[in-house]
Amino acid sequence: MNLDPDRYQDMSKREILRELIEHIATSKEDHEDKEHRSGNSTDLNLYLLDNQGMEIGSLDDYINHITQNERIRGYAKKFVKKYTFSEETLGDDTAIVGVTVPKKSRTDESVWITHGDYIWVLTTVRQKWRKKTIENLIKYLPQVERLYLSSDYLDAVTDEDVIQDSYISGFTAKYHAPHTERKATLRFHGGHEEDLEKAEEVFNAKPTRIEFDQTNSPTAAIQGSSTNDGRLSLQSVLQGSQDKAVETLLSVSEEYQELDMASFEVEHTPTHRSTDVGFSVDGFTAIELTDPDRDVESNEIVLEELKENVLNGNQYRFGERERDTLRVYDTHHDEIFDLAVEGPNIIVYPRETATSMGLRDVVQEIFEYDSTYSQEKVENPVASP
Amino acid sequence: MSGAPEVDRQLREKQTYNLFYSALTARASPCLTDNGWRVPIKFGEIDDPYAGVVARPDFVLYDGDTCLLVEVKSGDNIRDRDISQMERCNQLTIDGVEEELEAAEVQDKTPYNGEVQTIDRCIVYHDIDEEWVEQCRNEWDNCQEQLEQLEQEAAVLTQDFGGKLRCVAGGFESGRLQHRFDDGVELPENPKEEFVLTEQMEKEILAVAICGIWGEQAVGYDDAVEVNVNQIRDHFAPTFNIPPTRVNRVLYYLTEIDACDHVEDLTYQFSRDNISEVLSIIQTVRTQRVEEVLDDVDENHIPDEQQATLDMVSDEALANGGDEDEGGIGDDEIEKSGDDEESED
Repeated sequence: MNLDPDRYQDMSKREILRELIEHIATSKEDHEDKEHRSGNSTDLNLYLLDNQGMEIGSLDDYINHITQNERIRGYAKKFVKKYTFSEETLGDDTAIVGVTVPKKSRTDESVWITHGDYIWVLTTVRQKWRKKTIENLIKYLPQVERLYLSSDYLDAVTDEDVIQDSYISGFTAKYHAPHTERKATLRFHGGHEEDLEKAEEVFNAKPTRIEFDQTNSPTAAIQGSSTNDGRLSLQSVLQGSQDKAVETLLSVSEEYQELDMASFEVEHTPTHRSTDVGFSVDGFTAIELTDPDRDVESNEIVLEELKENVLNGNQYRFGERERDTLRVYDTHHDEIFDLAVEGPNIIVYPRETATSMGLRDVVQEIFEYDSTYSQEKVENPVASP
Repeated sequence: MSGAPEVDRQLREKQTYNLFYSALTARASPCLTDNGWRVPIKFGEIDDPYAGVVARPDFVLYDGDTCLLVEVKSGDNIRDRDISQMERCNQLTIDGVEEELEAAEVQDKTPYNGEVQTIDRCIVYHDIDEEWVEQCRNEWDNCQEQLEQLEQEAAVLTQDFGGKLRCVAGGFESGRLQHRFDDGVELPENPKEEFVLTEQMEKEILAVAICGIWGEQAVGYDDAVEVNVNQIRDHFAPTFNIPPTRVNRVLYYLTEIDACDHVEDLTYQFSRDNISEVLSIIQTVRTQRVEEVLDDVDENHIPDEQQATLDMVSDEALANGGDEDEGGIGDDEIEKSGDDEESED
C-alpha cells in the first residue's frame, strides 16, 4: 500500500473510503475467481477504535511516552524500539500513519480518521504484515482500544436492515469452555444463516467472524466480513458497486459502534455525591455474564478460575472482598471494577473510575477463557432523572 | 485470628445496606426505579422544625408524590430503638420532608419537583420470614407486643440475598407500595457494594471505607494522593462525625499494613504502589484488626493525636459539639451524629 498524501488532502471520510475501495475494485472475471476470503493482500480492512484521548497529529508524543514511561510494559517498549513511526496529517482529523520495518525497508501505511468518539483505521496491507505492525501499534497505544462485540451481537451487524440486499455467506464459530475436552472451531465457507444457527444450537459454538455477500442487482457484487474484535473487511467490490460499498462500510461501522456502546458504555455512572443532608449515588451499571455451558459450580471454583485464567497476567491486580467478589485494578487503563460471582455467572460492577476501556477488555478475557457465556449490560438511573 | 467474627459482623451490616439498595438497581426484578422511585438521599438527617423531630432514615425514596423513609437492620430482633426510630419517622410533617428534599437538591437530581403528598415508612430486617412473624405473634414472650408497636409505626419488610424484599407485617399507607411489596422484589444474589461505612464507624470498616475512596482514587494519578485527617472527617460530615483520633489511628494502621504512607503530622498519602494492599483491605482487616496491629507499635511513633484535636477539628465538627473529649488513645467511645448513619465508599 502506498498512499499519496497529496491525493488524500482535504478529502471527506466518504471520499477517502471511496478512494480506498478502488484498491480492491475488481472486474467481473476476477471477482468470480476470488474464492478464498482471508489474508488476501488486497483486502480493505477497517479497524474500529474506541478513542479515549488520542489526537490526530500527536503520534510522536504517544510513541515517546511509551519509550519513556516506566509504567509501560515490556512488549510495548520492545515494539516501539523495533519499528519507526511516521504521521502525515491530512486535515484536523485525518492522517496517514506509517510503521516502518527498518530491517526490511518496508513501510505499512494506514489512514487514521477520527469519527466522533471513535477512530477508524483503514489499510490494505496484507494480514501477515499488518498483524505485526498496524495491529500492534493499536494494541500498544493506551488511548485507543479496538471495539469488541460478544457473539450475541455480532449477528446483528450483518443484519438485512444494516446491509441492504445482503446474506450471510460464511462464518467462523468457536466453542471452548473449561472442564471439557471438547473444543471446536467451525469454518463455513458458503455457509448460510441456518448453518450458523445450527452451529450455535448443536455445538454451542459462537460466531467470531461473519462473512456476507451483498448484491447489486442481480449479481453478488460486494464481499465482506466482520469479526468480533472490531475489524471489518471488504474482500472484493465489483466495478460499478463502489458507492454501494461505501454505504455498506458506513452503516456497518455505525451499527458496530452502537452495539459496542450498548455492551460496554457506562451511561449511568455510579458517581457518589455528598450534600448538606446526606449522600447520593447517580446511577447504576452492571454487565452480566450468564448461563455458560457447564453445570452449576460453587462460587469458590469460579473465583479460582477467574484468578488463575483471566486475572493472571500483568494487566490485573486484585484483592478479595467478602461474598465471592474480587476487586480488580486494570493497570493498562487505570480503572477499578468488581467481579461478583453468582454460581457460574459473573457480574462486572464498574467502580467510579471504570469506563468501556477496562470493561471491554475484561469481558473479552472472560470470553477467551469460556466462549459460552451470554452477555447483557443492565443499567438505570438511581437518583438522576 | 480472634477478630474475624466481630469484623464479619461489621461487613455483614454493610452488605445489608447494599442489599436493600440493590432493589433500586436494574439487577432487581422488578427494579423500583422502573416504578418511578429515585433515591435522592442516603443516610441523611431529616430535621423537621414543624414537628420538632429529627429522624435519620437510612434511605429516602421519592417518586414525585410519595416519600418513603426506609430503615435497614442487619438482625432479626425488634429492639426498642427500632420502634422509637420509626416513631420519629412517623411524626415528620410534609413541610419538613419537602424542605429536606429541597436541601438534597432533589429538583436537579431527580425528575421531580419536590412536592410530597404522602409520607410512608418501612423497616427492613434481614433474617425474618412469615413463619418468624407467626411465631413472634403466638409463641415468643414480649415479641408480640414489640411487633404490634412497630406495626403501628411502619410496614415491616424482610430481605435476603437472591431472595425477595417483601412485606411480612404491618402495612403501608400507600396502596401502590402495599401492592408492590406484597408481590415482592427479587434481589440479586451478589449485589454491588456501593456503601461501606456503617452506623458505628468501627475502625475496621473505616479502614475499608478510606481505602475505597482515597486508596482507589490514587490509581488515576501519576503522583501520590495526599489526604489528612481533617479532610477525611469533612468528607463524611455531617452524616458521620468521626473522631479525629480514630481517623488518625486507622490511617496509621494503614501505613503499618502498607496500604499508604505517612507524610508528616496528620497527612498521609496513597499511590499506585499501594494498590495491592488497598484492594485486599477486607482480607487484611479480617486477619489483622486495627488495635491488634497498633498494639505492636510504640505509641510515640503514632502522630500526636492531642495535636490532631487542636489543629484539625473542622468548624462543622465544632458546631456539632462532637469533639470535646477527643484525644484518648483508647478511642472506645462511640461517637456518632445519629443512630443510624452510613456513608459511601
